[in-house]
Amino acid sequence: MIIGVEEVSEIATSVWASLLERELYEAPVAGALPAAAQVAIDGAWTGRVRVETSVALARRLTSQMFDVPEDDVDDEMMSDAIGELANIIGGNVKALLPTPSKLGLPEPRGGAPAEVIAEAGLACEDEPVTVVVEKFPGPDDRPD
Amino acid sequence: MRILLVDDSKAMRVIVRRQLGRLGVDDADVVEAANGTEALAAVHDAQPDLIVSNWNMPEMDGHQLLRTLRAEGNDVPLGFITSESTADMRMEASAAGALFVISKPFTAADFAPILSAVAA
Repeated sequence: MIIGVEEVSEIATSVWASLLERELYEAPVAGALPAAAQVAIDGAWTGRVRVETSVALARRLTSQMFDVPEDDVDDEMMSDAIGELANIIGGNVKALLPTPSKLGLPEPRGGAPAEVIAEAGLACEDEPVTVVVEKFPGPDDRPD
Repeated sequence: MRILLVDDSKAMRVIVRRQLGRLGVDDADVVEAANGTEALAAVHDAQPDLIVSNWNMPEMDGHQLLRTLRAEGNDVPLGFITSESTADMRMEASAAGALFVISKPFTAADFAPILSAVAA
């Protein structure tokens, strides 16, 4: 195992605290959550890191990040804000993985199925947050 | 001091502006661009004293922006904010002539010595 739930939770909690000045704490893993963004990692280790949360929390965080009232938050702003959270958490996860590799740009949830390496169930202000690290098959996984 | 802030995320540009504001940078002295291509045009128009650029961006990334500016003979101080500050990335940035690399997430304190150095 290269990275586990504990490391992913630590990274996400640290990003939440320093960027948002909000507490992120352990919670049961929720099902697929509607506000989500992911970043790909491609190289010596290939996979992706995805951040998911509720629309209510996404709106609250976006309001804070953009410094606008919640009523002024639109879908594009939420996509940008959650994408940036995925980017920062993904970059910090990448630092723990084999090198060299490149970090992709934030994008909506999607892509081919992959193996879940770590799935951190978290919550912020009673709203669910999930951070998922998924790995694509690499050369070591191919049959001889 | 006029600062050009380059990031494809508007949310991140707002956050960096906020941190610079905490250090006394006037909001009117911060010019924004969403990628390296836009930044090149903004450099010529705004003549910034400092460029704070994201490393990983669509169209033209921060590394390409820095190399293009230096190839044009423009030596405006430029540093990176990035979520992937590995040792390799820092060496690459330094070799290209970057003034600094700040890891995301960051605080205003990370920018303070840079502003002082550029202002000196």
